[in-house]
Amino acid sequence: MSRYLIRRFLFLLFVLWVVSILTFLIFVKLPPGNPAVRAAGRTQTPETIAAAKAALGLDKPVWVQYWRFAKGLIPWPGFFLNRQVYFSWSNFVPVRQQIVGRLPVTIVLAVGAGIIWLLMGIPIGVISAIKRRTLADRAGMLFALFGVSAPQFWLAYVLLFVFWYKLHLAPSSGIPIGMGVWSAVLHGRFILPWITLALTYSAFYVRILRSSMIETLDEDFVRTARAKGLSERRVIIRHALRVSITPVITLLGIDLGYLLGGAIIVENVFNLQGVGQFSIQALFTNDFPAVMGVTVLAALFIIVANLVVDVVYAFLDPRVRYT
Amino acid sequence: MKRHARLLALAASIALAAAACGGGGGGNKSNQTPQAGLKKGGVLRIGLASDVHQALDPGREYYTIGWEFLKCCLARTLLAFNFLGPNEKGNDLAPDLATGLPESSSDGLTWTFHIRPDVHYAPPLQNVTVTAQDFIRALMRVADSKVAASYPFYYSAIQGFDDFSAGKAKTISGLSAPDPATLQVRLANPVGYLPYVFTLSASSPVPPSPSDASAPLGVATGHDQNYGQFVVSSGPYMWKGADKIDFSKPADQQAGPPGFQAGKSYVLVRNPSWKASTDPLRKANIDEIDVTVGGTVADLTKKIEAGELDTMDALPAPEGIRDYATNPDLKPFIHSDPTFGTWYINMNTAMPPFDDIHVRKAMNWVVDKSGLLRLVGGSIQGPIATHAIPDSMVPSLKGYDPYSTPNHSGDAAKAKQEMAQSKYDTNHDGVCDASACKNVLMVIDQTDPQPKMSALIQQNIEQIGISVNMKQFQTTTMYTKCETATERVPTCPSEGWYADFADPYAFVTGLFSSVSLTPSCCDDSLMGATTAQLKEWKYSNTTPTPSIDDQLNACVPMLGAQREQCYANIDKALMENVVPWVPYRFANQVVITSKRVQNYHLDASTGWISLSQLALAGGA
Amino acid sequence: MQVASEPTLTAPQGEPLDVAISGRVVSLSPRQLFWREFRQDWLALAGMVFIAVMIFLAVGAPLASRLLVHHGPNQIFINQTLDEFGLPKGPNRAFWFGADDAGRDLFVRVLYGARTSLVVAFFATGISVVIGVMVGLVAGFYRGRVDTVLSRFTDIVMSLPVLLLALGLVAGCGLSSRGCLGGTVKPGLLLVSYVIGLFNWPYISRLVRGEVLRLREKEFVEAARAAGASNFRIMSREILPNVFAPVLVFTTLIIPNNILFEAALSFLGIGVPPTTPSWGKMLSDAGSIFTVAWWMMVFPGLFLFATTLAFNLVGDGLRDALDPRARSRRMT
Repeated sequence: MSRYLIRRFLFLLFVLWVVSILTFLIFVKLPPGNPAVRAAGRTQTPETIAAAKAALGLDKPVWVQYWRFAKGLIPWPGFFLNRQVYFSWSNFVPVRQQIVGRLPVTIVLAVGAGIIWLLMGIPIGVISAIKRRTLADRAGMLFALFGVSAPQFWLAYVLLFVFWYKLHLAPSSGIPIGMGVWSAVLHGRFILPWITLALTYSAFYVRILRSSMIETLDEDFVRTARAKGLSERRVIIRHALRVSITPVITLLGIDLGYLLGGAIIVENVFNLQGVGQFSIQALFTNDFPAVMGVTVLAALFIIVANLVVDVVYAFLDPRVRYT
Repeated sequence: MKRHARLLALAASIALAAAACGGGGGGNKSNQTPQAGLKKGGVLRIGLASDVHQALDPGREYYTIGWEFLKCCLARTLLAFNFLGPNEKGNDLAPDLATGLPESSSDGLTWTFHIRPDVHYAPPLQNVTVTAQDFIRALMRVADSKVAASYPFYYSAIQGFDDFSAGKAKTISGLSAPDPATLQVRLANPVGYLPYVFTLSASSPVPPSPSDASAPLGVATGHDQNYGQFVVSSGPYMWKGADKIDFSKPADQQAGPPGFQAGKSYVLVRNPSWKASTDPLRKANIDEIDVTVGGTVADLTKKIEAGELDTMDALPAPEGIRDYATNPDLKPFIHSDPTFGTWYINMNTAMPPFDDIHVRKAMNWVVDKSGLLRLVGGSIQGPIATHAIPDSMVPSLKGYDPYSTPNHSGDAAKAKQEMAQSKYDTNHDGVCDASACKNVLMVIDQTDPQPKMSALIQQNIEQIGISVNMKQFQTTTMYTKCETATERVPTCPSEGWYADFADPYAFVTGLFSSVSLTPSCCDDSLMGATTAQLKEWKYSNTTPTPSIDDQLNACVPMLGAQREQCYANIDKALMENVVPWVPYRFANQVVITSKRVQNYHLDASTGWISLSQLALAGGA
Repeated sequence: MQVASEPTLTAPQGEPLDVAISGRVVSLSPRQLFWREFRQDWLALAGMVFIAVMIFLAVGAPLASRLLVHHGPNQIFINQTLDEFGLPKGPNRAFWFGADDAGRDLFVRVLYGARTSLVVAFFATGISVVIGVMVGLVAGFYRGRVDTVLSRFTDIVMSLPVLLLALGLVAGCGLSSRGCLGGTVKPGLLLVSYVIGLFNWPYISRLVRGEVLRLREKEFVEAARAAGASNFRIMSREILPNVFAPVLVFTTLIIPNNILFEAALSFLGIGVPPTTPSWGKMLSDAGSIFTVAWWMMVFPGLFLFATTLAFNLVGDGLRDALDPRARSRRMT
């Protein structure tokens, strides 16, 4: 187990390294134009541009430039998102401070939505599995497919229009100044964003749980349980569901990993000031240190989520072995 | 819509300098509650669809919204305006931190300001008063190349300013403080506009550093780009929590105020040091200003209608305009004031097919200007432009329409007549058939409603045989491309130009003079380019482009009616002999507010809501 | 497919299979088996029909718009369709789906939008399938070190924050009209397709690798090898046809994802070129105005939704019909 973890950790570092190179190439080297020209301010002369270039390290060879940025991605205090390099080019504050300030919103958004889509996905998946090919199965699948087939921003707009603007059942978008994340939750400011995300994600869970459950119901131990005369409800919940939930946990881990890097569209439509909205702001203002920081952070979340999922697997399913 | 104001970035040639984009003459609205009924107190809530640009650094900020926050609330200057509309003397200089207008020596080279006594800074420097040295610090900061300030050129007439900027001197020799209440400015050469540069927030006082009184930049030391959040306020407001900043620590260990959350929110609270008795210009009725960043224009509009917000930075979209214009309850809360701005289709006079004047004239005949106006929300957004310089600047041009078409909807027949004379129409049937007219690159702004308008223009000019290859960009990227001669962009239909102040000089020089050619700004039509320049920029047609430099120079010294006539003639020359543009709209500033907002004025000096004059119904 | 020989065909609870009872088990070809299952799935069939109709409409969009309404997709009717504030008018006789906020015929644009969305979806999916199948095939066939390298590579691509990098790529290459990478990648429809395709292949590659690992141990592969066939020939002639079915299933499930991905890119302002009608862009345009012009949100939204739903239904149906394990369970 520990050898496995070490190997996974080394791979994690390797992936981060590749992501940092890709990010550097895509966001710094690919776009035409000179970032120093932007940084030099409104009235510029060749001298001020040269000064800006030197200040940003853009006069150095490519690999030095890369190293400057890559150093800040080493997860170590003093290195990680250090303020010398990871200093926003458009907001003029340390990128780490901005990301940390925005993480709570994104975490609440992702976790809350995760809970809701599990609450929607698990019952529908179970019912679809035990009532296969019935109307209930079809209706459940259709509901789930509705979510997966609708564009996220479209759902978001429609929900906002109907439930805030027309019916006044839900609060408007965003979190007013002075309201903390928790009190925003209590004021229902996350309800519509959660539902939007949950609707678009739950379908995958229904599908996976349904097929995994069907498989499990065929297994010997379920038949044994039934033969012992246990009630059907007990068989399904205590025995079948417990085993068939593992792929759902996997998917949940990975999805949450993705969302913690920013629910870009939902955060933008609902004006939630989380990491996703920040990444778009940074991208559109060519704020490269911010983009680099937020992209690699998003990758880090995904990779760690994968790792966590693998480890959790070991506890849930004793058949899995690590070598 | 996002910000579209562009500032003149011309070094030596500015005659006088007032503001970002000024307000215009002849306001057509009036919804001002009488002064007497105004209450103090309340929280004003503003939504910004796009963030401020330079993190509100007084030395760097150059867009309308940021200017208003600085001028209203944080950064008092020696001189200012009354923060009212253009019809309410909003363009007249008034003393602010100075006791009166400056005295100038007979040769115009020495200017003396007397500083208002007993003006204290905001906490934590509430015991420090504003002195002459604080202004010298501010100007040294403007000159400092590390700061990359936005307006150093306005100050370069000050003796020794450029030397200091270049690092050749330790101080600016032209600035001196004979006593703490007197600032003396010596110029290298006389400039009449000098008082105006002391209205810019860049010249607002910077107090000395509490830990190092000799630090040349005072509390701004080490805050080359982020002084916006550390600014020690001299105005009626300050960042919430700014009183907790510890300026005795090194700059990078100072924690910014909680009220300044870059990219998220900005909260201004009352500055306890500010006294109405020492500030005759600002009413400061409101207790607190809460600014949230983010959200679409439509979403912000709905929140303002519902009373969750009080106003926003963006122009309302058509549905918002209709809601306000057709609902009698809301109608008093939409405001439309003329500005010194024109929207136009730019044509590059060196790039085929627009290097042929007949093609440019045909463009003027064929474009459906009333359609373009309707696509931005109708007549409230401003009158249709029939020529270049706004009527509000040169009133005698009102009614001048060299390309008059029925209902301003374009006239394909007249356009074809014109096109038939072009060398690009080889069979002279009025439809361009040369390859130069096919797939012409058109660079547009991707911000709504510009793509819709460009689509209409595309359809219009297909009638005369011009087909386009449209590319869309962010607003600032679009301007950069269109302003850069080496990009060789034939036409840019999403351009707008706002003069810095109420003189036609400020309108035409940056646009049509050869001194404004690349790499400075903004002669996007390349008027006055020489063969050598065109060769350098790799143009295939290197015939020198038309120039009106002589006429422009002739107008500069004129005064009064003669001056106005001179600029009217320039406009006529532009529209008939050069034709670099298809102007289609003179811009209005349109603002919507919630029903709580009283005493709305346009701040002529910034071109946005005058925050220092507003009041809220019910007050606290 | 070696369907008949799969042991899983034994139904649970010890009941014999109906195919086994009737004794037709050897006479039914996989294709017949598939059809027998698939045609019972009326939802999947409906999805199939809908997709066919959409493809037909997309191909015939110019003809349909000319014959039915005489409007072009970029033709602007300022005076007929916009009121004095520039707000569009709703559905009427001349404009069946109403007009958009630029005064264009929404019906025609929805038809043309089908072209964009389907082209992007098919093209992007095609790229994913080609890369995914090649990587998966090589990794599964050669195993060992090749497999390790390719699988780790796949893992890396799966760990990328896709939307962010896609935005960066599209924005970076779209920043200049000359494109990027020396002009090889030009902004526009194809760029969007490339980007979507380049990030979506790992899922297919994983699927294919698993299948190939299973298939390469089969007798028919052994037989081919014994007959002296080259590796390339075994891969292309023996194994590739056998991974067709699962890849097809998966493809129908990622097409709707790709349609939505294009919509998301367009929504964020980095999608297809300005005047090209695309459902995603039409919806994002509607976002600011649909409170007064519901038709701008409803019609493109309905078509986008119905198309993705149809692909999902077909994908589900195909999976159920092609997956022998799923089939065996139907009978309980």
